[in-house]
Amino acid sequence: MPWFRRRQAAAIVDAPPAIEQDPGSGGFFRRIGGRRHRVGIPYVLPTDLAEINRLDFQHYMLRFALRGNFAAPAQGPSAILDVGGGTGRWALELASVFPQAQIISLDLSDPTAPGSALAGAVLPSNLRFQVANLLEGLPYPDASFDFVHQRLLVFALPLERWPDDVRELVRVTRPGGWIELVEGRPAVHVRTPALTTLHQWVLDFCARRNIDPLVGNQIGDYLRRGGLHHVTMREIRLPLGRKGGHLGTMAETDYFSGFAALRPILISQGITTGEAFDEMMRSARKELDTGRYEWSFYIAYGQRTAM
Amino acid sequence: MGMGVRLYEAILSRPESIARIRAAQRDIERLGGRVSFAPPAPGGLILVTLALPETLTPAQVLPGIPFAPA
Repeated sequence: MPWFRRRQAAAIVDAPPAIEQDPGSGGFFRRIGGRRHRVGIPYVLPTDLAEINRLDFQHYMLRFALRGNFAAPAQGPSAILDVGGGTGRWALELASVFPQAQIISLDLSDPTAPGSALAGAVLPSNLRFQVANLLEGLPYPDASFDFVHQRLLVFALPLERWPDDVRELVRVTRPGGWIELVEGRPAVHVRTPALTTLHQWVLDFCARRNIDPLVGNQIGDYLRRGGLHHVTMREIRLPLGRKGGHLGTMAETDYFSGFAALRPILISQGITTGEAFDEMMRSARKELDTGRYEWSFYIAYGQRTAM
Repeated sequence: MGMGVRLYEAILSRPESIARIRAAQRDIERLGGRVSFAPPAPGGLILVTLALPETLTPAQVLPGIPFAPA
């Protein structure tokens, strides 16, 4: 019997569902309304097959929209780090672009584990996946990499951890090397009623974990404050909705898949009900059909001062 | 009625993090809290569960260790 069930005086407030361990990756998870969430981190989105598919779809959408996998002027790097590498797609493609470089993709799970995104894939010899929690700091010596990349961690990093995170990225980057951050920012400027309600529910939930999904447009400032030079930030506005053509339809699919991924946890947290959520999703899709809307992504890169 | 307890969890891989928690374990218990460690998972990650009286937060007893509410 767990210790906390032996002591009557210490009642657990908001006891969470039981933890399960994935037999393939060994990771620890909780099932919330049919979606699988990793325990022990503030990340708000699920970690399951549906989310792997959404992330891979998002990877291809971004590569198409951004016309490539990175923007920093990294010239012939010999060591590349991808922080929060997720399904591993970005690192896998970079391994082909820079065959002379050693590439490490770091995340809480190994995407080559059974049942994961790259299970059974034949991997290039210059690519390695490392399991670690970036919130503990990066497990590398100072000045280990020429190019450090971090993408789409706004739903994983509590607001107060951003400066520490960038400090770690700078620490492991070699003098003269480049750091690139890529983040999206929810389209809260679209003030249609249903979409505004959906955004507010997500923001309310994220606030409980000290996560601010709206920091995406500040990543350039974080790099500057981290001491980098030649900091450049670009905003890329994706069309959002079918009126935006092929890319707009792709973006809408990804956007609403993200909302759908959060449906169970928003309900379990008492933020909304299933009926209200489903009604808002239907209404928000109709709203996007009435006008031309955009979803912004930001790419910021900067260089560590050469010695 | 007894004081409520809140659960926090952290997924950790660095030996120094685990060592810090073990070093603080007695003090945490003295404050009415508890620490438990799951066996290491493949890849070396360890799930640490921290139960604290509602009046305390992880940042107060183990600053810098990235605990999240369970």
